[in-house]
Amino acid sequence: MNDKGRVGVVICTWAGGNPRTLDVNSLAEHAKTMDRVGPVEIIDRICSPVGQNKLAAFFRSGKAECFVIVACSAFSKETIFRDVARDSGINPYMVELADVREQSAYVHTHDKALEKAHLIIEMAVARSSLAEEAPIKFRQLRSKRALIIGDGACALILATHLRGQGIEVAQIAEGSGFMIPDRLEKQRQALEEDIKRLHEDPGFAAFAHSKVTHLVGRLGNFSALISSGRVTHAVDCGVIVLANEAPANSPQTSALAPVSDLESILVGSGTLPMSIVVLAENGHEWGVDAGAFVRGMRAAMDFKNKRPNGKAYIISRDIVSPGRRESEQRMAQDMGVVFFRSEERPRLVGATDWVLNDQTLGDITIEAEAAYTTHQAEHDSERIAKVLGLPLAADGTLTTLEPRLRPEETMRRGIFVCSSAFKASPLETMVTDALSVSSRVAEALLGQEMLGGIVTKVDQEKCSACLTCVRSCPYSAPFIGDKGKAEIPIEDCQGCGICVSLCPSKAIDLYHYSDSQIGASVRVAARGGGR
Amino acid sequence: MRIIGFICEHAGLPAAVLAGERGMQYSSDVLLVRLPCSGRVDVVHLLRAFRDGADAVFLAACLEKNCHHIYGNLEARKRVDQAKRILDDLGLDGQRVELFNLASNQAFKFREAAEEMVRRVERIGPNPLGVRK
Repeated sequence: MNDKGRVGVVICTWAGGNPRTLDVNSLAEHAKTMDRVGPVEIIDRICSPVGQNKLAAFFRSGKAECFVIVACSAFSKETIFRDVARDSGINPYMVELADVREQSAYVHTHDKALEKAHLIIEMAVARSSLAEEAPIKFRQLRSKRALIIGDGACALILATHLRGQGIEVAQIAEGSGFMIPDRLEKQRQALEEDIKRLHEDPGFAAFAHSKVTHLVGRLGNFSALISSGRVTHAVDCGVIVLANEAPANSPQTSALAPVSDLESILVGSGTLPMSIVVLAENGHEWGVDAGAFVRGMRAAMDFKNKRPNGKAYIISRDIVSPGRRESEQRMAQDMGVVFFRSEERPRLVGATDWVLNDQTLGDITIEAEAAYTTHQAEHDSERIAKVLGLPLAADGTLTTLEPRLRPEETMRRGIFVCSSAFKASPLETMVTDALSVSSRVAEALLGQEMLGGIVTKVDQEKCSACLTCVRSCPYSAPFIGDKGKAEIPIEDCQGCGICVSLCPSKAIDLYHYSDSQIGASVRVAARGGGR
Repeated sequence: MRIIGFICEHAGLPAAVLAGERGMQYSSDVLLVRLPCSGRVDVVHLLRAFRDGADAVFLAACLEKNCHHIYGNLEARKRVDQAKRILDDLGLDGQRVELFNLASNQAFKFREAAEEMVRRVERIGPNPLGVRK
């Protein structure tokens, strides 16, 4: 076989899961027995800086042409590995990721996991040995403007930060301009000064009473249609940031008010109730996350500060207080805030009684004058996501690329989201958010636009100019060129491969997902081993 | 038993990864093949899998009207229906191939899809074309 030893395999020591279900040494031994595999190396924590250096050295060693990285499946890691490859002078699409952790170590028992992991590696090697260098081209960004969608404090802080970095900013507000919510009453004066400064700034443009209705393009080259009443503007921008404020009045039952009401009373001058119950939940079927939990906890602590004799209860499915929040929770407990865990969402009985289901104590009834929830109905995130072409989770919330590592990036490159967007967050969260998003935005705008990668190629010999690809492309990329054959520019191709499967002449193929590559991994999988 | 799951990059893959992170158990006979979009799938890919001995093949694609590539999942539905007809004509049973629509956070739906295919193979029996080692 002429591709003998063409594939280099790198195995991450953490691929075996934690605790170790898979023995990485035995994975390496198995990889060495495969025909196409040349060098095999085990690297500790490949995604760490040290690991990345070792990976780069392996890429540069010249012992292999294409590579399989046996690791986990966090999609963010794939971009890290591709960047390392590019910096080492290897085409990033010669690198293949074999996920043995999420697809095997975490879900199967010992022997079965090992057997499946061997197959997964074999499938990746089969694919990888057929890899071709995908065409890659760089282009200067056409627009370096950031478009901010939103009119809340989050958008305001972000706009100020971005302008501070010299980035041109356009803002789209549904209302007449920036709005400052009640819970930020203390900071109103400072925020209003920011608004004034922004409006005097020539690098800032605001579109009031406007909505984005259409978006085309990619990072560095977006073109958005913005409708402001009867007028429609076309705005070019390099990146887009979602920074909407939560709706002022969320639809809630009268007995259960949003926790922002309590926050308004705590900052403002309303009358505090004698006893409160806070349901810490994030809206996902009685789920809870750290943000919701801490927000409810802080409101309860502020309440206890103002009313030391009052009663404050927090009910949630779990106690979520990671890191330093643990001592904060301890402090809350010392102050007299009572925490309950309930398997089910508490139900209201009568006017003021809440019945919850504690794991050990069973059904408990709590009486409280006022009840609040940390969950607030989302803004029209659904409409915005559809316009921007972002995938939604089943419950209508936005999906982010990597919730823990890169929470500010959406699934579409060049579109960012403030994690406090659509939520009513405390100011410090919004400031940290704005800082992290603005640095991501600046980083994205500094670079060049990378084109190509997973794109189609047309075999002009085979093309019969039947127009199938022209008609079927969701992005209108293919056209019939001067020679009377289909052409698909890599600038426009989004790499979905719909035309590839439809082409009756089989003239189109997709780099990195070619028919032969898909066929090779399917063959290994279906036969239970390629040899 | 050999079951092949084609997963699209925007829904099937994140759901499968999430299922892994949560340690949701499913049969280890399920092997996953990643696609950029479910619309990339060709009837040939589906049929060759059976020729090579797979007992069942499924696709995990975005929810309808929520496809990252606008209508890739609808194209995939057409491919799967076509493959079903061919399998029925061949006497292999069209139930061996199925498309499941799910969202990226619906790990349980992914597990359900995998388990459903296992149940179907248990009911129909192994692929008669299977090459046993």
